[in-house]
Amino acid sequence: MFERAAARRKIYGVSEAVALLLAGASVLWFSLSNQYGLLMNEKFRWLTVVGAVLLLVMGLIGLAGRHKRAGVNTWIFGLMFLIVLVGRPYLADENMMSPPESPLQAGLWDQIDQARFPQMNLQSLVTTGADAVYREGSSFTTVGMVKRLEDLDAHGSFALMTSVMYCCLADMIAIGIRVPCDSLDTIEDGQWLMISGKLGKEETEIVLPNFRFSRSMMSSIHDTYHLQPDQILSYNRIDQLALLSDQILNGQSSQLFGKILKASGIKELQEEGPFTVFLPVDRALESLEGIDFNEMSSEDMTQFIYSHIVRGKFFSSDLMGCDNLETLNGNRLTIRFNNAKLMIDESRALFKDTEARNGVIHYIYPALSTSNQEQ
Amino acid sequence: MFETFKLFSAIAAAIFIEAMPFLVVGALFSAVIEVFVSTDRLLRHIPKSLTGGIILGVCAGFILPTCECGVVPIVRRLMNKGVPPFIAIAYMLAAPIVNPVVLASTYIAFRGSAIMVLARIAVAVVSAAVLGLYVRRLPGVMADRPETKPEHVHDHSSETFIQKIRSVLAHGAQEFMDMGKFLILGAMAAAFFKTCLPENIMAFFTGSLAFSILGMMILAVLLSICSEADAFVASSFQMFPEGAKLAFIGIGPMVDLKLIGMYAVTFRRKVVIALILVPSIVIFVLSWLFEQMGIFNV
Repeated sequence: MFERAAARRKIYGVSEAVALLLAGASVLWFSLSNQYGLLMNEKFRWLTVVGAVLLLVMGLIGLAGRHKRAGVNTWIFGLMFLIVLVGRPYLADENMMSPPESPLQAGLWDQIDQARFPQMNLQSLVTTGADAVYREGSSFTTVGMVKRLEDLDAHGSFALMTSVMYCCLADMIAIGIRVPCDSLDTIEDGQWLMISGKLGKEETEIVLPNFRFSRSMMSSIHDTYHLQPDQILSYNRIDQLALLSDQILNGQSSQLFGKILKASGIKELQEEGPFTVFLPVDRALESLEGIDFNEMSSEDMTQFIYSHIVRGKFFSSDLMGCDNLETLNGNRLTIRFNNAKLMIDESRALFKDTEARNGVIHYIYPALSTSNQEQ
Repeated sequence: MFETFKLFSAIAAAIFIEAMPFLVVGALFSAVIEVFVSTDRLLRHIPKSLTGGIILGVCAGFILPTCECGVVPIVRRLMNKGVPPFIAIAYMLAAPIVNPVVLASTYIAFRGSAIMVLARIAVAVVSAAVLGLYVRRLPGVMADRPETKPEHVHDHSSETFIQKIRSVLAHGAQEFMDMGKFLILGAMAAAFFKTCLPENIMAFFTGSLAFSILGMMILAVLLSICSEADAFVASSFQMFPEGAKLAFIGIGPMVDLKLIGMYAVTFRRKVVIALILVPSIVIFVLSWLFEQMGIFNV
């Protein structure tokens, strides 16, 4: 009886060490991934890495030591694993706001008189920078997400919001600034806006209820200043996307196609559109027999590229309603779904629906033929 | 429904990942004390007088800054090594607040308010001192568990350096697992409240100053935010007076859902109740008093 209890405690000792190893390995993976910013402030990444490595070391020592332990610790750590595996908090979804810096890098920024309205991060404006900006009377441009509230509607205003994470998601708060607007009916809740203007002093106190915003439980709107807009530009998600040409040239699986595109001198994918590109992955081009792209003429390269592009933006859901499509060089492509797999002629779509600003890319294998006759 | 669960799991995971390195460091530091620091040497540096002990306890955060997640294992080990409980507990309550990182974040969050920083130090020091004085009168402080008994302290003096390092890691792992389960349970409870509390619940507490302070204290306990970030959250509650914000940043590092479990496994029930009640009463009274005196308007 006593021996059995001791053996069980030994098993729990090993399981504790395994729990430590698992916790260390999963936190280390998470801390080195691009998803870290979903739950944690980036400035603490190094700290999480150190903690995870120490967990791994302690787990290894625990495994070697085979101490006798009680089971409760392992069960509670197991419960945490289960919650994380089911909830999958390490994956992004549409409820999460993009980092405030990224929208400012996109094309809409070019429409602003940057000398007169330099960019200002909404987060730093609302947290610490407002007093100095107001004192200097500076104009600026900032980006945020719209929050419509009845109490603000009554003042002919909406709130321009962003969220701040000081340490982790648990302390994330939504902060923003009131923006008076004459055409409130054109402003929608959840819309990204780029606003140029300057700060004005709040004359009367507006008491607002707390509201949930993005993944923040707490929210506040600046009580001392409001943003007097000079220009309000609607910020579309599409503006944040790269052009087809950039997507292809910088893509990991499209290096060969990118080289041919560059060598052919085709300019369409840089500006015009929309287009749908059935892009053969590098492996598909490497396996083409009898074709040496280094010896191809510019005209042949153009024909090759054109035979993989159709006019229009066709996501896989749109392609379900198509039987065939015409490429830029006049070929007809047969579209079909084989056991829910998208087939373009005899090529299979490996990755579908990579959206670009001026079109969409479906990565395929093998490459398509340059003419219908060859098929 | 799944979205709510996803948010719950995200917050629980975030709290765990945030606090984990501090708990690891706390557990390892505790193990270093166990393995490398001899009891005699440690006790030689501890002041004998009550005043000296309390001053050492509340100021040690400047020498050994830790957040609330990592401080409990250190304090448990110090007491096992014979450090008087009133000093160790004063350190445990004050260190997560009276340390350079937290005071700097308070200063920034409240837009350069030195008054708020000083008020935060005051509530921490008074709470730690009052509890230290209370604990000093008690015959026993630590919970009646095998790991908190003096005989649980092993003699590592004859071990080689490598063996000592292995012992540190082994003790650290056990300490982390013992405390880590309360971190997980606290993170889950805090995530549950953060996900499920009605969004405008705090409006219920805005009626009077006393109610505001009480509401902010309850919220701080339920949200269990790290002491380095809580000042930023507190400063965003614009509908609340500064006294209530002080109560939020005062009570959070001393009493929260993660800590209550860790206290329960370390201390006797009487001490756990005192650890919850004494800071709550002291902080409530001081916050109310400071607000009535108008010190935040200076």
